[in-house]
Amino acid sequence: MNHWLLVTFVLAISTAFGLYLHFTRGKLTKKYSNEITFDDLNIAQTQGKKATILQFKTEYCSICPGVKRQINELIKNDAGISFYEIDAVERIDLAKKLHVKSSPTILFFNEAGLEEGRIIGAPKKDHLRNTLEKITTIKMENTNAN
Amino acid sequence: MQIDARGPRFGAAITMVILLLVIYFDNALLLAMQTLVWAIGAFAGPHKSPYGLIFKKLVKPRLKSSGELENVKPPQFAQLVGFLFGVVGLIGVAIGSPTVFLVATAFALAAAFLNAVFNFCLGCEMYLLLVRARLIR
Repeated sequence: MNHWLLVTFVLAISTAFGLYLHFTRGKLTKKYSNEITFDDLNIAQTQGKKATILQFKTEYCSICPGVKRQINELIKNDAGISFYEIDAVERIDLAKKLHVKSSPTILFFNEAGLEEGRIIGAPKKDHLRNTLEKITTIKMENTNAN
Repeated sequence: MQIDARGPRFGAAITMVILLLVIYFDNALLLAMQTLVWAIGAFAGPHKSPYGLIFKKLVKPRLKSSGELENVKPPQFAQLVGFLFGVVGLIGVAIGSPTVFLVATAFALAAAFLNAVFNFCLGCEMYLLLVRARLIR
Protein backbone atom coordinates (compact mmCIF):
# COMPACT_ATOMS: atom_id res chain seq x y z
CA MET A 1 0.00 0.00 0.00
CA ASN A 2 1.29 3.45 -0.86
CA HIS A 3 1.75 5.03 2.54
CA TRP A 4 1.60 8.62 1.43
CA LEU A 5 -1.57 7.94 -0.51
CA LEU A 6 -3.13 6.60 2.67
CA VAL A 7 -1.92 9.58 4.71
CA THR A 8 -3.18 12.01 2.09
CA PHE A 9 -6.56 10.31 1.98
CA VAL A 10 -6.91 10.28 5.77
CA LEU A 11 -5.86 13.90 6.15
CA ALA A 12 -8.10 14.99 3.27
CA ILE A 13 -11.17 13.35 4.80
CA SER A 14 -10.30 14.71 8.25
CA THR A 15 -9.75 18.19 6.86
CA ALA A 16 -13.07 18.11 5.04
CA PHE A 17 -14.84 17.06 8.22
CA GLY A 18 -12.96 19.63 10.28
CA LEU A 19 -13.84 22.41 7.87
CA TYR A 20 -17.47 21.30 7.92
CA LEU A 21 -17.45 21.65 11.71
CA HIS A 22 -15.64 24.95 11.52
CA PHE A 23 -18.16 26.49 9.14
CA THR A 24 -21.30 25.10 10.73
CA ARG A 25 -20.58 25.42 14.42
CA GLY A 26 -20.69 28.62 16.38
CA LYS A 27 -23.04 30.32 13.97
CA LEU A 28 -26.75 30.92 14.12
CA THR A 29 -28.55 28.12 12.35
CA LYS A 30 -32.19 27.99 11.50
CA LYS A 31 -34.65 26.79 14.06
CA TYR A 32 -35.31 23.10 14.11
CA SER A 33 -39.06 23.27 14.38
CA ASN A 34 -41.85 25.77 13.91
CA GLU A 35 -44.05 23.83 16.26
CA ILE A 36 -42.26 23.86 19.58
CA THR A 37 -42.67 26.98 21.67
CA PHE A 38 -41.15 27.91 24.98
CA ASP A 39 -44.45 27.18 26.72
CA ASP A 40 -44.47 23.67 25.27
CA LEU A 41 -41.34 22.88 27.23
CA ASN A 42 -43.28 23.01 30.53
CA ILE A 43 -40.26 24.10 32.51
CA ALA A 44 -40.22 26.10 35.69
CA GLN A 45 -38.27 28.97 34.17
CA THR A 46 -40.13 32.07 33.09
CA GLN A 47 -40.07 33.29 29.52
CA GLY A 48 -38.29 36.62 29.00
CA LYS A 49 -40.33 39.64 27.94
CA LYS A 50 -38.13 40.34 24.91
CA ALA A 51 -36.26 37.08 24.41
CA THR A 52 -35.27 33.88 26.16
CA ILE A 53 -31.99 32.07 25.81
CA LEU A 54 -31.59 28.42 26.72
CA GLN A 55 -28.10 26.98 26.87
CA PHE A 56 -27.81 23.23 26.99
CA LYS A 57 -24.65 22.14 28.73
CA THR A 58 -23.18 18.96 30.13
CA GLU A 59 -20.88 18.27 33.02
CA TYR A 60 -18.08 17.51 30.57
CA CYS A 61 -18.43 20.56 28.37
CA SER A 62 -15.28 22.60 28.92
CA ILE A 63 -16.37 25.59 26.87
CA CYS A 64 -19.84 25.87 28.37
CA PRO A 65 -18.82 27.99 31.39
CA GLY A 66 -17.13 30.48 29.07
CA VAL A 67 -20.19 30.68 26.85
CA LYS A 68 -22.39 31.18 29.90
CA ARG A 69 -20.17 34.05 31.07
CA GLN A 70 -20.29 35.55 27.59
CA ILE A 71 -24.07 35.49 27.51
CA ASN A 72 -24.44 36.82 31.04
CA GLU A 73 -22.08 39.69 30.23
CA LEU A 74 -24.05 40.51 27.10
CA ILE A 75 -27.50 40.62 28.71
CA LYS A 76 -26.58 41.92 32.14
CA ASN A 77 -28.20 45.30 31.53
CA ASP A 78 -31.34 44.02 29.88
CA ALA A 79 -33.93 42.63 32.25
CA GLY A 80 -36.19 41.71 29.35
CA ILE A 81 -33.93 38.88 28.22
CA SER A 82 -33.96 35.72 30.32
CA PHE A 83 -31.16 33.20 30.21
CA TYR A 84 -31.22 29.68 31.58
CA GLU A 85 -28.73 26.86 31.56
CA ILE A 86 -30.02 23.32 31.29
CA ASP A 87 -28.07 20.12 31.80
CA ALA A 88 -28.63 18.03 28.69
CA VAL A 89 -28.11 14.75 30.55
CA GLU A 90 -30.34 15.53 33.53
CA ARG A 91 -33.02 16.88 31.23
CA ILE A 92 -32.54 14.49 28.37
CA ASP A 93 -36.28 14.71 27.77
CA LEU A 94 -35.93 18.39 26.91
CA ALA A 95 -32.83 17.78 24.85
CA LYS A 96 -34.70 15.20 22.79
CA LYS A 97 -37.76 17.39 22.43
CA LEU A 98 -35.62 20.25 21.14
CA HIS A 99 -33.35 17.97 19.10
CA VAL A 100 -30.26 19.03 20.99
CA LYS A 101 -27.42 16.67 20.21
CA SER A 102 -24.31 18.39 21.52
CA SER A 103 -23.21 20.96 24.02
CA PRO A 104 -23.17 23.82 24.15
CA THR A 105 -26.30 24.39 22.14
CA ILE A 106 -27.84 27.81 22.62
CA LEU A 107 -31.47 28.29 21.63
CA PHE A 108 -33.01 31.69 21.10
CA PHE A 109 -36.72 32.23 21.66
CA ASN A 110 -38.39 35.49 20.70
CA GLU A 111 -40.94 37.41 22.77
CA ALA A 112 -43.70 35.19 21.42
CA GLY A 113 -41.88 32.10 22.69
CA LEU A 114 -41.01 30.83 19.22
CA GLU A 115 -37.54 29.56 18.45
CA GLU A 116 -35.68 31.97 16.23
CA GLY A 117 -32.63 29.77 15.77
CA ARG A 118 -29.79 28.14 17.59
CA ILE A 119 -26.04 28.16 17.87
CA ILE A 120 -24.24 24.85 18.23
CA GLY A 121 -20.78 24.99 19.74
CA ALA A 122 -18.86 28.01 20.97
CA PRO A 123 -20.41 31.11 19.37
CA LYS A 124 -18.28 32.89 16.81
CA LYS A 125 -17.22 36.36 17.79
CA ASP A 126 -20.11 38.83 17.68
CA HIS A 127 -22.60 36.13 16.69
CA LEU A 128 -24.26 36.17 20.06
CA ARG A 129 -24.63 39.92 20.07
CA ASN A 130 -25.82 40.03 16.45
CA THR A 131 -28.36 37.29 17.11
CA LEU A 132 -29.79 39.05 20.13
CA GLU A 133 -29.93 42.34 18.28
CA LYS A 134 -31.77 40.65 15.46
CA ILE A 135 -34.29 39.02 17.77
CA THR A 136 -34.87 41.96 20.06
CA THR A 137 -34.19 44.70 17.46
CA ILE A 138 -32.27 46.47 20.15
CA LYS A 139 -28.63 47.45 19.94
CA MET A 140 -26.69 45.40 22.45
CA GLU A 141 -23.89 46.84 24.54
CA ASN A 142 -20.51 46.11 22.99
CA THR A 143 -18.54 43.73 25.15
CA ASN A 144 -15.13 42.16 24.95
CA ALA A 145 -16.11 39.24 27.17
CA ASN A 146 -14.80 35.91 25.85
CA MET B 1 -10.91 16.05 38.44
CA GLN B 2 -10.39 19.06 36.17
CA ILE B 3 -7.51 19.55 33.75
CA ASP B 4 -6.42 22.35 31.44
CA ALA B 5 -8.36 21.77 28.21
CA ARG B 6 -5.35 22.80 26.12
CA GLY B 7 -3.24 19.92 27.42
CA PRO B 8 -4.95 17.11 25.49
CA ARG B 9 -4.84 19.21 22.34
CA PHE B 10 -1.11 19.68 22.77
CA GLY B 11 -0.77 15.92 23.26
CA ALA B 12 -2.79 15.36 20.09
CA ALA B 13 -0.38 17.52 18.12
CA ILE B 14 2.59 15.45 19.24
CA THR B 15 0.64 12.26 18.63
CA MET B 16 -0.18 13.39 15.11
CA VAL B 17 3.52 13.86 14.31
CA ILE B 18 4.44 10.53 15.87
CA LEU B 19 1.77 8.68 13.89
CA LEU B 20 2.87 10.31 10.64
CA LEU B 21 6.34 8.97 11.36
CA VAL B 22 4.89 5.56 12.22
CA ILE B 23 3.17 5.37 8.84
CA TYR B 24 6.05 6.84 6.84
CA PHE B 25 8.72 4.60 8.36
CA ASP B 26 6.46 1.58 8.95
CA ASN B 27 7.83 1.70 12.46
CA ALA B 28 6.12 -0.70 14.87
CA LEU B 29 8.43 0.28 17.72
CA LEU B 30 7.32 3.88 17.48
CA LEU B 31 3.70 2.75 17.47
CA ALA B 32 4.40 0.64 20.55
CA MET B 33 5.87 3.66 22.32
CA GLN B 34 2.85 5.76 21.36
CA THR B 35 0.54 2.99 22.55
CA LEU B 36 2.34 3.07 25.89
CA VAL B 37 1.78 6.82 26.10
CA TRP B 38 -1.92 6.26 25.38
CA ALA B 39 -2.02 3.56 28.05
CA ILE B 40 -0.64 5.94 30.66
CA GLY B 41 -3.15 8.56 29.57
CA ALA B 42 -6.01 6.09 29.63
CA PHE B 43 -5.31 4.50 33.00
CA ALA B 44 -3.56 7.26 34.94
CA GLY B 45 -5.02 10.29 33.20
CA PRO B 46 -3.84 12.41 30.25
CA HIS B 47 -2.21 14.84 32.65
CA LYS B 48 0.07 12.03 33.85
CA SER B 49 1.19 10.96 30.36
CA PRO B 50 4.56 12.18 29.02
CA TYR B 51 2.84 14.69 26.73
CA GLY B 52 0.72 15.94 29.59
CA LEU B 53 3.75 16.42 31.78
CA ILE B 54 5.60 18.26 28.98
CA PHE B 55 2.59 20.54 28.59
CA LYS B 56 2.40 21.20 32.30
CA LYS B 57 6.09 21.86 32.86
CA LEU B 58 7.22 23.49 29.63
CA VAL B 59 4.26 24.81 27.65
CA LYS B 60 1.62 25.99 30.08
CA PRO B 61 3.91 28.34 32.05
CA ARG B 62 4.65 30.13 28.79
CA LEU B 63 1.04 30.63 27.78
CA LYS B 64 -0.36 34.06 28.47
CA SER B 65 -3.88 33.18 29.42
CA SER B 66 -5.22 30.54 31.74
CA GLY B 67 -7.27 28.04 29.81
CA GLU B 68 -10.66 26.63 30.57
CA LEU B 69 -10.71 23.59 32.77
CA GLU B 70 -12.44 20.43 31.67
CA ASN B 71 -13.44 17.22 33.31
CA VAL B 72 -10.71 14.64 32.80
CA LYS B 73 -13.07 11.80 31.90
CA PRO B 74 -13.74 12.56 28.22
CA PRO B 75 -10.08 13.12 27.23
CA GLN B 76 -9.11 10.12 29.35
CA PHE B 77 -11.61 8.04 27.41
CA ALA B 78 -10.13 9.44 24.20
CA GLN B 79 -6.75 8.13 25.32
CA LEU B 80 -8.35 4.74 25.84
CA VAL B 81 -9.69 4.81 22.29
CA GLY B 82 -6.21 5.68 21.04
CA PHE B 83 -4.76 2.87 23.12
CA LEU B 84 -7.18 0.40 21.57
CA PHE B 85 -6.24 1.56 18.06
CA GLY B 86 -2.60 1.18 19.02
CA VAL B 87 -3.17 -2.33 20.29
CA VAL B 88 -4.99 -3.27 17.08
CA GLY B 89 -2.11 -1.85 15.05
CA LEU B 90 0.40 -3.86 17.04
CA ILE B 91 -1.70 -6.98 16.63
CA GLY B 92 -1.47 -6.30 12.92
CA VAL B 93 2.29 -6.31 13.20
CA ALA B 94 2.26 -9.48 15.27
CA ILE B 95 0.13 -11.39 12.77
CA GLY B 96 2.02 -10.05 9.79
CA SER B 97 -0.77 -7.87 8.43
CA PRO B 98 0.55 -4.48 7.29
CA THR B 99 -2.99 -3.50 6.31
CA VAL B 100 -4.28 -3.84 9.87
CA PHE B 101 -1.23 -1.97 11.13
CA LEU B 102 -1.68 0.90 8.70
CA VAL B 103 -5.46 1.20 8.91
CA ALA B 104 -5.47 1.24 12.71
CA THR B 105 -2.70 3.84 12.73
CA ALA B 106 -4.52 5.89 10.10
CA PHE B 107 -7.70 6.01 12.20
CA ALA B 108 -5.71 7.17 15.19
CA LEU B 109 -3.97 9.74 13.00
CA ALA B 110 -7.32 11.12 11.83
CA ALA B 111 -8.51 11.53 15.42
CA ALA B 112 -5.25 13.19 16.52
CA PHE B 113 -5.35 15.49 13.49
CA LEU B 114 -8.93 16.59 14.18
CA ASN B 115 -8.07 17.37 17.77
CA ALA B 116 -4.81 19.15 17.06
CA VAL B 117 -5.99 21.22 14.11
CA PHE B 118 -9.71 21.71 14.67
CA ASN B 119 -9.93 21.22 18.44
CA PHE B 120 -12.42 18.41 17.87
CA CYS B 121 -11.87 15.47 20.21
CA LEU B 122 -13.47 12.44 18.62
CA GLY B 123 -12.96 10.24 21.66
CA CYS B 124 -14.49 12.90 23.89
CA GLU B 125 -17.56 13.06 21.66
CA MET B 126 -17.87 9.27 21.84
CA TYR B 127 -17.74 9.49 25.62
CA LEU B 128 -20.50 12.09 25.66
CA LEU B 129 -22.67 9.95 23.42
CA LEU B 130 -22.20 7.02 25.79
CA VAL B 131 -23.10 9.24 28.77
CA ARG B 132 -26.23 10.48 27.03
CA ALA B 133 -27.15 6.90 26.17
CA ARG B 134 -26.67 6.14 29.89
CA LEU B 135 -24.18 3.43 29.00
CA ILE B 136 -21.55 5.03 31.21
CA ARG B 137 -21.85 7.43 34.10
